[in-house]
Amino acid sequence: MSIEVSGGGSVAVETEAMLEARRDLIELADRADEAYGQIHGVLDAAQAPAGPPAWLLAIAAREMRALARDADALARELDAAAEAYGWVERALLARDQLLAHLAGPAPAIDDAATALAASAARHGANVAGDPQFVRALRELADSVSLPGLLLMVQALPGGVLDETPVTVTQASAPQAVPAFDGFTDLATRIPAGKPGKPQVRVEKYELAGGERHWVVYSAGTIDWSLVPSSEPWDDTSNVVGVAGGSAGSSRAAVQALEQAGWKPGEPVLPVGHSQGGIVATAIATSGVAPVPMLVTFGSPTAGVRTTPGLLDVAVEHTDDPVPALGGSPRSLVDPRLLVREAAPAAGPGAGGLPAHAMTGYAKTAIEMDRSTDPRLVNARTTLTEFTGGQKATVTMWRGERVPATGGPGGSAGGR
Amino acid sequence: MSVLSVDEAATERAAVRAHLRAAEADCLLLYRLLPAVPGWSGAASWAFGLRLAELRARVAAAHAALAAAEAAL
Repeated sequence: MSIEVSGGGSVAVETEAMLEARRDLIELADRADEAYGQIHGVLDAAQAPAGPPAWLLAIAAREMRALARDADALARELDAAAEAYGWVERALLARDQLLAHLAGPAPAIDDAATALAASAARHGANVAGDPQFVRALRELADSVSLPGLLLMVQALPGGVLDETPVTVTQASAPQAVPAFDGFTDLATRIPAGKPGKPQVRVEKYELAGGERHWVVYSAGTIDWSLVPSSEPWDDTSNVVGVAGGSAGSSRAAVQALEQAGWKPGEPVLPVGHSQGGIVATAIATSGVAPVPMLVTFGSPTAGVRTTPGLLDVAVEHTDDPVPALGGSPRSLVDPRLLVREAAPAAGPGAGGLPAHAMTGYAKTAIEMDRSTDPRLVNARTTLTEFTGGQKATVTMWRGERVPATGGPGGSAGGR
Repeated sequence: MSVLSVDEAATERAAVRAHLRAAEADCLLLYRLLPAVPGWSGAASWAFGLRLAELRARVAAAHAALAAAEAAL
């Protein structure tokens, strides 16, 4: 299995297989050129062989020169193919978006239902990871005005999807740990997201020059019910967050940062899985802190417009339906550095969606750390520079919802 | 016109032969550097495979010519 990297300021789509083939071809061309020089040296020597050996050497030299030329040309064509592939992908994406908008909500829902039925017929219960279903889901998300839908649902009696104030409490004593090293560490440091457990991890880095940098990790959805209870990492936060509102989980994560000692103006690197990606994206787009990079795994945030210049690394499994719930990127050229692959074997988890499980995304992160794609190499350099190689002080935090009538625990802060 | 002694001619041939063997060893390295046809699907993979086959044929032609030249020395 090989990761596919796209976007990040370039339209090229390159797989590790392409990069490897191009590297080999460039070396092949160089070596063939050297061999040509060596053979030519024999032919040009004072005591060069004459007759048939000379004719044969001339043939070998000609073939070597042609080999160097052809290998170099093929390497260049691979570059062009990667770029063309990128443009085709963008064009298909634009067509999908256009069709979804033209079709409107009802046909898109029909499409999703049809895809679901077709997938069920083919794969039994394993329908959520079917690419056709995932694609239909993205079209559906594109065609629905989520903020409008949210307002309608919230107007209904029963408290469905109603936001509440939140509070946070520190769940662990400060502890010194080594700096994270690459995407694998970022993935594995995201809190597991279990009922009653901390949902936020905050790391403080004190750099040599006295500057302080912060990393905030957010768990994925813990409570899947539509009516909020005490858990802010719930479906209310999912819907409100994707609709661009102030989700309880996002407010809890910012409160955790503040209580850990973060001061406005100090850089923050937000990281999250699933709903944690919504939280991370909300922090990155809120303007509360300078954010050099945003890292999300399996997050439904493609449709969120991020700050220009932000290095937005989005990791999506092609058979994970959750990222599709975020719809398509707002602009034709996806500004995100998008890393995709089919989910590696991840084991059960994540609400019965194996392709969405963090264990699988952690395996993809290992491939990202091994990748020689220049965009990922640059991203890893940015990560290293962010920590300055210093040890981190870690604290864990637990957020809770406070009933709206329950006093001064915080502000719902809008929808 | 210079005339080589029998020993000098044998030494020259040995030097040329050493150069040819080095070039033949390079051919083995070139075979190894030929990329495998990747798992891309459809026409792109097929076309890439054809281009690689052309490169392989050039390495083979050069290798065979070098071996024949060495034998003919």
